[in-house]
Amino acid sequence: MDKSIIINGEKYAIDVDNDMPLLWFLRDRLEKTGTKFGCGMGVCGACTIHVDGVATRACITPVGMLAGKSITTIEGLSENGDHPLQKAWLNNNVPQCGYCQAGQIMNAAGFLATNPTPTSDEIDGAMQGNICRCGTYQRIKKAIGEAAFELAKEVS
Amino acid sequence: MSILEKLANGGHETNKIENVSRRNFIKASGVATTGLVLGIAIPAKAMAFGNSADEAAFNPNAFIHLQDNGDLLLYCGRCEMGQGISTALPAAVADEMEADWSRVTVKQADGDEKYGPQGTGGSASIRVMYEPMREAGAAAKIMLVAAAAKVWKVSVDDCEAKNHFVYNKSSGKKLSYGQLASLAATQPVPEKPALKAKSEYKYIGKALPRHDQGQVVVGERIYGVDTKMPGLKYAAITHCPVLGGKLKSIDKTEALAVKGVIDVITIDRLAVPFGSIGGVAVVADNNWTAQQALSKLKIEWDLGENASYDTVAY
Repeated sequence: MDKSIIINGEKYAIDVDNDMPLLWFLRDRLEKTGTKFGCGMGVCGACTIHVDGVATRACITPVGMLAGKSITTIEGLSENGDHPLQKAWLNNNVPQCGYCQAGQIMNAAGFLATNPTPTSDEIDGAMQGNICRCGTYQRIKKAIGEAAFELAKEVS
Repeated sequence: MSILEKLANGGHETNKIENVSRRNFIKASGVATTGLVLGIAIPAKAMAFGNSADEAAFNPNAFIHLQDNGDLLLYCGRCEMGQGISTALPAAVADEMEADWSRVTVKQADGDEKYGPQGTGGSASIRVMYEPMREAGAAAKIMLVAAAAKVWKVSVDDCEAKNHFVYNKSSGKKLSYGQLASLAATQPVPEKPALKAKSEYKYIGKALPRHDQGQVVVGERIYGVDTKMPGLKYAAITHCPVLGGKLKSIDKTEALAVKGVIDVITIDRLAVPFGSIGGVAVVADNNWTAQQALSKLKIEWDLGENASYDTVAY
């Protein structure tokens, strides 16, 4: 059976072992390295992408399960790197080493799509599965708040 | 001389700045030759992990390149890993050079030996390179001012460098750094350029937007693990669970039978500082396959003399 997957709007054949996690299909097969490998066990959040708009850990999601689904990675979050979260990330100088930040941004984007007006506690709850070894949590939280504010303006 | 002794001496006696705009080796090394290129030689022994000092030859390990369009590039052998070195070093250059911060970019050296030892650690990058970078920036500024004075046929004292331009104090005319770059390259390199006073700093010690953040937020910043090369293979590795142990026996059959596995390699222990602790690696055409096949290896370890060591008991 011909299986394919949509990644950032482009169609790709799933031509690897069905059990291969999406993370490695992206990184090794398609050489899209924006999505990072952290733990390989779905506990650090570095590999977060969207499956049909929902934040998902790519390192524990077999690519074979994703036939016909639409995937968004950090490279496809916005046309010109101008998603409100990306802008807020720059405004607040969020990244230190930056390795976990693609996952942080993708997780935050999935979260804001379901809750555009989060409280401080709701941001903490939504982001608790994304670990940053540099400890940029304060700036991440501030940037999410700022982006939510901008998104609210866009909607209204 | 230790780094500390060197710092106590102001780091002066062995750093060297040279105009390399027209040197053949620069052409050969792929650093562009138009505009003004200053090479900065910082002795290997002053570097964190340097071990091959060659004092006789001029071997620059950093380059400042002012292009004819005014873009200022800094090629640097220090590695950015979140500590901000790719912002801090250009800030030191730009400040002394009176350059426009928005025109400065750091290009990560590519691992070629022309950049000298590139090990980055021990919090040494700023300690070792702060003054040489500032001196190089100051030298570039002096050469740009000299070039402008030549154009206007006035004394250098009548010229002032400010934010990527040199101004003629009496006529009010100005020339951009880009316009002056190639002429500046023909001016003598000042041996001991004067440095600014701390109170005059524009960029040093100030909060500056980091150069690489734009790449981070779109997933384009390349980390070591992201490196791709033609024919690249991927390895998964396992080590003896006890330090000092070694491989006793291995059955590779099942691992080698996995589709996509290229080889299973045993790695000897290398008992030198930073040496390998030894182990077994599965090489495959992707990470996933290598990891899967690794779990299919049948390995028996000789746990060695630390076999009975018990953290809890200790």
